[in-house]
Amino acid sequence: MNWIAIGVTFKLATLTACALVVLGLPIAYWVSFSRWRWKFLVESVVALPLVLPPTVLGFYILVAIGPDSPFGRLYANLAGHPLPFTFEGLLIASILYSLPFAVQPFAAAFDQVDRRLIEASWTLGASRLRTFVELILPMSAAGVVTGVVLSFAHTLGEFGVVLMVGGNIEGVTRTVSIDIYDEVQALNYAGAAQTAVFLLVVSYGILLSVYAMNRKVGAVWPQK
Amino acid sequence: MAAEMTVDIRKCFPGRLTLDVQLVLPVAPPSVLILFGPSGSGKTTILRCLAGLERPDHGHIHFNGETWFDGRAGVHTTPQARCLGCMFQDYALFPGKTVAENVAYGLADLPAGERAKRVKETLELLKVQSMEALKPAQLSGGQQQRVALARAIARRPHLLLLDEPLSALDAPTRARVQGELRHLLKQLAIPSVVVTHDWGEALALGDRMVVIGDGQMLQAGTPQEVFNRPKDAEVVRIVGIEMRWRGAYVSRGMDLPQWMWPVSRCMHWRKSVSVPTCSCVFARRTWCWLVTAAGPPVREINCGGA
Repeated sequence: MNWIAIGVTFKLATLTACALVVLGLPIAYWVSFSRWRWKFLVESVVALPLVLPPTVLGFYILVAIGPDSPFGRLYANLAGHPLPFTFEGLLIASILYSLPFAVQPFAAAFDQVDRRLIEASWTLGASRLRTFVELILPMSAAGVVTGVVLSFAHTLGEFGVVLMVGGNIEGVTRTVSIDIYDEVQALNYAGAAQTAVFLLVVSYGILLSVYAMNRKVGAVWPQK
Repeated sequence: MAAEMTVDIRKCFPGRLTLDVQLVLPVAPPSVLILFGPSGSGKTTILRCLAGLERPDHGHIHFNGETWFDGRAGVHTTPQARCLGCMFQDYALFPGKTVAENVAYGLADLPAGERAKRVKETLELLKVQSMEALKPAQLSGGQQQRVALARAIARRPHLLLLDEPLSALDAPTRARVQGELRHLLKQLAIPSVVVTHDWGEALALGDRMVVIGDGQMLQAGTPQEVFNRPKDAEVVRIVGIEMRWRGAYVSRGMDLPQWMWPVSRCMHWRKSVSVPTCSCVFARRTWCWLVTAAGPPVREINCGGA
């Protein structure tokens, strides 16, 4: 089993999930609470990675962060090396690729919070930030955890975007899914199977924890 | 600056309602203003405009020298900056917090010691001190109502806004709580606006009353005035006067003729009132259309004009 690839994958997934908490919560808050008429335009953009082939998304990200783009040039000037085929480039791509997996559960959870409670909080003098931290976040904890876990799990298994943006550099951008692909290409089915089973078990375990947490007690067998 | 709240707002909900309201509420001495009207008449929207939760299209709201809203100058103060105590129809207690935490929520700017003291005082005032560790779901409707009121008054607001404060209670509890609430509002001496569609609540709580129908102000006065002398048939309909009687025209200055006594007894008629000077025959829940002998068969007579 390629422990180096596993290490890269978990590092990438953890950082992506953390970044999506920081980025996703404000976006989800805006999506859930904005009354802007054209909000659906932004919602559609956020959801785009759900339907777009990873190669298409990867291609655009590659172009956007490449040394020919303003952003890519700026980064290359600051960091001394271009973004594509680095871990940082891969991280940016993963964040964009997993964005809907975080934002949609977050926003769905915020939508469930009774607006009257939020207004009550405002009239009691609590700022929007305090209302968010003290009231909205605790009431949507399950949705927030779901979003974090799903974006983590989704990043674990990403393939197309990694190949397009990260390439296949051992110890830097070679993730588990790329490693499995390489093993199969080299006809090393035993190695591929080992890593595949590992990824299967981890992914299943993560989803189990999400569904167990969101399970409504008594939903199947009503309890007294 | 005048110690009063002046409200002159317009808000249009296309296809539904156009709100157009002018109100004056004395802040000192504090008084209780009732906004009375049927469901969908816009009274809760007025309350939301006062709370800053809704932005009127035009007009202004001034409170005790402060400008809360001015459509022309583009001023709209946030709810946080208005120092309000709001009690919502379904109380909107925070489900995850205990009674004490709910009441303490609006006191974040106080030091911890003073906050605890204020929470204790307020819970004692509303007789819910024994429930401070309970969650809202563990309370009865009446207890929730008290906790919601405690939360609203704990921060010593400049203005209290109560939206149907007793509507979620059963009838016996409501009757009991009504008197207590009146007493409490007097004791607190905070100017209050109470939205209701219950005439008992309006009479029990209000110093002044405004009848709202389809977003328009139909009549203003003391609750007694409004209930005793509804301005027109629309107000009669809204304040829920159920019995309409037809009478005969009686000449000016006369006491009631004997043949009308059974009717008058039924309606608690004040016999001293002569018909043309107060041409609506009325007690708390009655209304009379008078018929003039010479005029059209049924004429609606305005109390103010005659």
